[in-house]
Amino acid sequence: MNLILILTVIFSQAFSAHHEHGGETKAASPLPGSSIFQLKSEWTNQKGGKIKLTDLQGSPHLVVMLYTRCETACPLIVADLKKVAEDAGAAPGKIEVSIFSLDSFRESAESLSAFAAKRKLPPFWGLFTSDANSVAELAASLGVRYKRLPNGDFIHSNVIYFLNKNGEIVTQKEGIGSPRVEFIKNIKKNI
Amino acid sequence: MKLIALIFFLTYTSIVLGKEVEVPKTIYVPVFKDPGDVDIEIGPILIDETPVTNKEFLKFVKKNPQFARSKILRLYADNNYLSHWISDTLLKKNEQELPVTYVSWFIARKYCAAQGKRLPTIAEWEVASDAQNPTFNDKILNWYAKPGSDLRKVGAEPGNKFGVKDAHGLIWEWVDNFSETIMSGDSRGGSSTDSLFCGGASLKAKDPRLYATFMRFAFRSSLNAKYSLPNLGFRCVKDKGVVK
Repeated sequence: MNLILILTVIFSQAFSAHHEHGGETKAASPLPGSSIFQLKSEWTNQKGGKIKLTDLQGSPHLVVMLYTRCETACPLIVADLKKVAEDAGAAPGKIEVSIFSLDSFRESAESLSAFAAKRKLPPFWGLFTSDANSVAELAASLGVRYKRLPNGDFIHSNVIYFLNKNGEIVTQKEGIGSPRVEFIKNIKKNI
Repeated sequence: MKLIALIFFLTYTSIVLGKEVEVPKTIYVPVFKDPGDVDIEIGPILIDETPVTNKEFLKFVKKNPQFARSKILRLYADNNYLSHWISDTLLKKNEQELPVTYVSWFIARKYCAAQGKRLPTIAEWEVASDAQNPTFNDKILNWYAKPGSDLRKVGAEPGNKFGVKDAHGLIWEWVDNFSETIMSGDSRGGSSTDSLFCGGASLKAKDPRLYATFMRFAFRSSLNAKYSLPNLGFRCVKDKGVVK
């Protein structure tokens, strides 16, 4: 009798999960619950195109958050990211590279595109900007800590994240100029 | 008759909707400044008189079943989320009026947004809680010294100069921009306790008032948006005069 009851509960839960279509849950989606790609936010890229984080699923990603007006740490983190991308074998469809701006106040498709040109970023890299709420949620999901100063600059953690094709954080490289070897090894193990 | 109706209405709304108190426009002077930091003007805001209770949070979960304990995405909360409840929608009777705890930053934000409100900023919370008032020193430090003390009903003690209750001595509270608190150069380096103790050693706080504030900042710097902790709850605010 107890067994039947338990089974009924299990089945009814499985059943109701399939019928769930609340705004935040995607029961039908194959994405794991901890996937960054579960975030619903919409972003504008350097070409003015709109994407949703969900659209990024399917390829592993190298991800950083920075702001393009930054003149001290960001050129260094971009240089670091270029080396990591090269060593990891980043290429369209294989490992994508995405830069998300922390600066929802001043970033635009134009400033992103100017940054990509100035830093000579490979054309397949994606640069994205969105509103303050979307930035806060993505940063919180990744674990990026940041603070906007009154002059419009940001203090922020410098971390390169590697997400698998389902949007789960597999490994991360903390700090500018820290050794790449272990990070690259972890990436290659998880492609 | 009209008066009775009015009194009834006021009592009813304060019970059902939760009472808010006003914090006027105030200049907040940060105790710990990063280079480039300046004083911040906050308010006027309306802030919840008391932290959000289990009962209030249950109402929200019933309306938004995707935030129930068994349905919540791991992205939004760790597996301690609402773990003190009997089930997805069942509370122990004596927990109804206790502040809700075991809630993550993500869901605290969503709760406030659902009420047309938001989480307070660090500056707003520090001002509204009157945390720099020296008369609270002993209370704050005594409480910080006893981690995991039992929770009690919200609103049991008199409010501070704004009428804000339970700001000290009951729970820690989420603030919207907790991640701004970066105690060490790279907050991701080492565990949260490492950075807490490194910070503690380097600060050499002799002023107990500074020490209490430091404890709050160290605590915030150790948080992650998914954390759902036994003594961490929240309350909401809205800008005064803004109707959403």
